[in-house]
Amino acid sequence: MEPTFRASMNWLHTWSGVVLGSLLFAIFWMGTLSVFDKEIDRWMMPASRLAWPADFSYDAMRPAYQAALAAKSPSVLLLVPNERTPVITGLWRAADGSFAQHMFDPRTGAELPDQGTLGASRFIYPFHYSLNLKVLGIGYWIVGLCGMMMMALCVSGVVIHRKIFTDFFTFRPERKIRRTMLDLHNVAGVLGLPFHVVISVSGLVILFSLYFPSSIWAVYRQDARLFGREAYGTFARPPAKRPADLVSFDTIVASAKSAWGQGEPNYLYVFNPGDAAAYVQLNRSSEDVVSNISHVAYVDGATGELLSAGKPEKPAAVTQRFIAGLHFIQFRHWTLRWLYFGLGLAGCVLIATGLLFWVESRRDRHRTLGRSGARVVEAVTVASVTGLLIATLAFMVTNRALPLGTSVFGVERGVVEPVVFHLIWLLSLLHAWLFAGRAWVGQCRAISVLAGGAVLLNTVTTGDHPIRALADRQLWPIAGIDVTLIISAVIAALAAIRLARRGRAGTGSSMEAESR
Amino acid sequence: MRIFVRTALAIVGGYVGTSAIIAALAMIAVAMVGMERSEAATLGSMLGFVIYLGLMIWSFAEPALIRMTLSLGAVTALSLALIVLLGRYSS
Repeated sequence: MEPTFRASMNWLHTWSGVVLGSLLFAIFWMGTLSVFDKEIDRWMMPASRLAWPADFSYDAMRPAYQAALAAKSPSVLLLVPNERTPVITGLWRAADGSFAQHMFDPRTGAELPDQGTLGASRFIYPFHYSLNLKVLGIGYWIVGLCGMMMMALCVSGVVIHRKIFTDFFTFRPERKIRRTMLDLHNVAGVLGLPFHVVISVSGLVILFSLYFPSSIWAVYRQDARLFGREAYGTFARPPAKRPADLVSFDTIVASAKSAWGQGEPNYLYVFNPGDAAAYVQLNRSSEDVVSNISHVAYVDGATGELLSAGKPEKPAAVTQRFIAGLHFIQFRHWTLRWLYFGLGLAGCVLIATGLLFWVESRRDRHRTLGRSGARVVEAVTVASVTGLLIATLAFMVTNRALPLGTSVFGVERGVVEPVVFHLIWLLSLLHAWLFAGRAWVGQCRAISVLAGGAVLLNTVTTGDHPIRALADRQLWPIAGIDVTLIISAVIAALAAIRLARRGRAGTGSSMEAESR
Repeated sequence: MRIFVRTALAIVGGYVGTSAIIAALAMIAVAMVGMERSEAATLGSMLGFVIYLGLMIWSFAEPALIRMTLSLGAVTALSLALIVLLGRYSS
């Protein structure tokens, strides 16, 4: 191995970065988008662009519950509407065993038409933590390994730095591309370091019992299932096999609130619905606290009495939930939400520039030596950076371009969207390989066109153009997305123009101006 | 080849070693410190990420691969021995 600690860390940083950089970029990008997953949902599901009723009555959830009851689901999860999701969401197992998600109007309780899309919360968000690879949970493990490597990259990145303070103020944009890439990489890395470390650790800590179950096995032996009950006061009881009605939702919520003092629930999880032993799990909304799961209460479904409400006061469990909450960002704080988004983008820039630095420092040498390394990495980098942005935009454009209810080759829109995403992503790799060295220009242009097209399509299909959306409080999520798309379109267009000019000037190098 | 062995050692060996260490730590916390077992399990699990990171960095930093392998093996074996011992003691 390398002779000194710094040299070996340099080696580790370089090679783990090149091998996992593309995957890390995808995880960071999808995570950054997930900061605004609910807003993207509103954009992709026009029927859910409703006003948030401040005087919401929990009994409006009754029709959703009845629908689940009719489907004979063993349990039903009802999400309480809030500012970001102004609809009641009902999740239950359909008669054929598949999971179904339905939306209901928060005022009347009437079911909203199926929006025929996975949206951000069922495609982009799960992609972030599982790459949507469900077989054997392999996606979780790949993402977990990437999280560990991100931490190793942070540590080794700090070690190989000689002048961490000077790098704060060093940016030389107009000299050699390689220099620019390294400076940008350093600035994004050094300024964002606390964020990058915290976001990786907290992402891993969410799934601590999946990634490191051995300590649970060691102290619980055969009855590892007791862990949930002891750590979090999870309550469970079997059905009584006698039918009984659920008391009113307002009564159930009032019962839970008597344990909390203040605050509203963010979900009602009904177990054994329709049975005399029905019970409801309610979690106090974490709008005003960092911790994702703040205070769980269990209420008897038939009587409305409080069954249990253990406040988690065990230090390790509370710490775990706090750290997890840092990652989930379910608290209500728009400035912080935008900061998370901005820092997430900084992480994307960090990873992309790191990959580009590797390519730029080897491109000429590899060409003269006849090696394909730099060319392969460059093509993969193009596809995983601009290609992924194109695929994401294509996912959104497909949603607006295909009217609700249309099917392509007998496949409905909700399935077509992810297929388009993956197909376009694959095509971007092909394009990057065939047009080596020039692919950045073409792909930046594609981003620009697609982002602009998405705004236009949204205007045409829903009439909610950015100006109207900005004027209407309930359409602000749409305005936010549209304005962000327009800014991205402009940046991508400027990047494409600059890159094309640079290409003509014969520097022979490419540069990615901004990874948005 | 050496790089492959080292990487495998860091990722797989590090994971196995970490799992053994945190299991032993959790058992020690329960048996000797008197920590509640759900707390010991959660704390052990969370420490796992830090320990795993340390072991990975160490695997790549240690110049002599053989010394690394032996040390990691020794730590893992020691932890496993503790698990067995404490398992007898507690039951």
